[in-house]
Amino acid sequence: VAPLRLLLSMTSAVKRCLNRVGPYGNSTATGQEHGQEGEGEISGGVDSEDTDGELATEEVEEGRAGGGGGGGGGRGINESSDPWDREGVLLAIGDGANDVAMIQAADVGVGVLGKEGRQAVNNSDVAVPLFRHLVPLLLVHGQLCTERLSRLITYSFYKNLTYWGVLLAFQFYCGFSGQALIDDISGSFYNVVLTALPILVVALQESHAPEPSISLLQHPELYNAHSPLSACRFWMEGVVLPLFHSAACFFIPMYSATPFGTQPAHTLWVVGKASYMAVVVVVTVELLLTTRAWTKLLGTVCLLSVAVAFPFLLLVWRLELAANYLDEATVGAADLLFKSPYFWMSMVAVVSLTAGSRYLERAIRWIYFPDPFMTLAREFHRTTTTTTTTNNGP
Amino acid sequence: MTSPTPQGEGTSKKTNEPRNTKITQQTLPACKPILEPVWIVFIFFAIGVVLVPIGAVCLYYGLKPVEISARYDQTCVQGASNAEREAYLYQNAANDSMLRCTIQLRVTADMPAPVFVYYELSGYYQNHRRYVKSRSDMQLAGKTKGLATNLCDPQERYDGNDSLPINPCGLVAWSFFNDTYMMAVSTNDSNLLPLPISDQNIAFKSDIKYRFASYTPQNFNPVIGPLRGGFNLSADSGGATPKDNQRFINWMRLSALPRFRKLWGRIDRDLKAGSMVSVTVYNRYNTYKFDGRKSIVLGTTTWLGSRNPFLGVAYLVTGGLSFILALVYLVLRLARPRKFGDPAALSFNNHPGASG
Repeated sequence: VAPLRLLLSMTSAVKRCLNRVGPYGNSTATGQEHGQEGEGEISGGVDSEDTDGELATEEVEEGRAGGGGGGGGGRGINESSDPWDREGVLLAIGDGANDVAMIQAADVGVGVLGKEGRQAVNNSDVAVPLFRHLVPLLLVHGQLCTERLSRLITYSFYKNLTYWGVLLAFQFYCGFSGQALIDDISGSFYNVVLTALPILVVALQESHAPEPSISLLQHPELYNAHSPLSACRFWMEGVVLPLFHSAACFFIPMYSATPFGTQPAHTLWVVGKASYMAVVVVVTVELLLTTRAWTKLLGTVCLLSVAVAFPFLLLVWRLELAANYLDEATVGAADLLFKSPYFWMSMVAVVSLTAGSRYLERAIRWIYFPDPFMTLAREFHRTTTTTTTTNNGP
Repeated sequence: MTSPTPQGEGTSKKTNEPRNTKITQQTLPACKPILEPVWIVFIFFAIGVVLVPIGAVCLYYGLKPVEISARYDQTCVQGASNAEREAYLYQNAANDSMLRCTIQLRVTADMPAPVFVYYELSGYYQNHRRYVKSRSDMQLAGKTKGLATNLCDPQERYDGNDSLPINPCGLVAWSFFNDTYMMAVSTNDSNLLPLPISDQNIAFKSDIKYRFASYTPQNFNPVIGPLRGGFNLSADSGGATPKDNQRFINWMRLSALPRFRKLWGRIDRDLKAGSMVSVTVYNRYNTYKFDGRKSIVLGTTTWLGSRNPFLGVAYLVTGGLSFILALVYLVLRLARPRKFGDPAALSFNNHPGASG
């Protein structure tokens, strides 16, 4: 009986938590769905003959809009097992062997390590030791994970489209013949070496809420208040923005280039290198401007990524020559470029134009149209500075 | 969150716990910048303050070089249309003296040495993909191993004859610019003195050192081409081998835009303002077929390059916008102050704002 009471109090605590109304918005979806459903709610009973707790077979329904999903047990899911029939994402949690079917059928299957053995855990997507860990799983890890994934997706489109935009813009000047402004070797290093690590670090470490293990639990209403990858955000940040940035990376080096006596700074491949370096710097700066948590690791990785581009270009043609391969695109181009004021001046111009306009957009967002996490960050910052508590990790 | 304790796993200390370090627990100390109005104004002012003077300097040095130029493809040849001019070119290709003309350039300001002589071509797509591929850098460097000259087609074999390979092959080399110029300068006492144009030290040093070799070309434009263009490699064109002919080296360096200049020579002598430069042009190159243009340009340079105000303008525009935005924002803040970070201002929130 004591475990039963514990279970019931835990379930009601979770329900209360998810139904809570806070200053950042109402937690609408979960509360209402449970009222409508009438079965499979969190407040399930205990069937002592069957398993240690029907709790183990309950579903916690979470959805952004609309209901869906069946009631308790595997039967309910099978009734509407076609994923396209349902709206929202279904999470099932269980700890016994009889829960395996339900866990496998759900979108997110959570297994609880416990006395029932390892069957549920072995078939689950996420294993937790105790039922109450479901709350931080959803609120902290779930939100952080979706934000990181959406950041990764958007940025991957952004950095590739910036590169592509430069190549596209050049087509207007080369008679649409398909000539690439940037040579192949630099191009192959772009995605794999020079821009791969920063976004990897962001996708692993980014935290858009201050002290997420504290603040996200304090404000569960944030869960439904903000969609991390709306269509608008993806198209604007991932598709339209890189077109502007690539225009800056193309036009400024191209039109600033002049024949400088014997230095061929205005020739095809040298201007291409200048554009290429501009793209590398611009996409890295863009990442730094939109990331909300700057760690030393991220800073180091970004700095290294940009810094490596310089010796890379200087080294590539020397290695080619050593291998007896002649290539107009690379020989002497980088040396010339890094010695000419045209290059450094146009780089500063490109970066200040793109980063400056991006910073302006960020400023307008933060001041006039903050998303809930920005407001949360400000509140948190204000309370911690006024009460002078330390801001270190938990 | 507690870590899972192994149940009944025996007394072994080995567990599957992840290491409890800052990086695995994702609690790396982080700086989480918050954009605050004061900082925003400051940063935009700073950007403006840095960029505007740089722009002014770039604009000054961008406009400082002196340039004098004249287009000559239409005035140099008889004919009212490009088709007629081209016909004239075809008729008189063998007769150099019929293709000669003189144009006058007036020196508008003092031009300190070295004065660079460029020819400017317009409507000429050296950046077209098919043209860019049509060359063999290995051949130009005198390498014999790993030669792949099939990309040079149709300029790989002379007249399609397999026993007559062209070296240097390809369209880029074949279309080597063949107009030449002679200059004379007269000051106000109208004494026409010849102006020597040097063709040494006009090519990129890395190119001369690494990419071009001294060898005798084979089957390379031995006669005047059927399309009337394309110099051979000889003393007339600037050198008998690719390495010696720096004008050829410059030609082989592909240009980025369809309107480009290439360095043809340098004048190591000052030109005084007010003098007249008389340029004798041998107008051999056929740009009439594709309605291209040819000009002769004399220009000086500064540390920033030739005459080009673009960079200065770009800096001034960016810096100016930054200043304006900082001012606008400052005015907005003073005129309509709003509480910073007020959740009640959130549009979707019909709950009275609670702080903290």
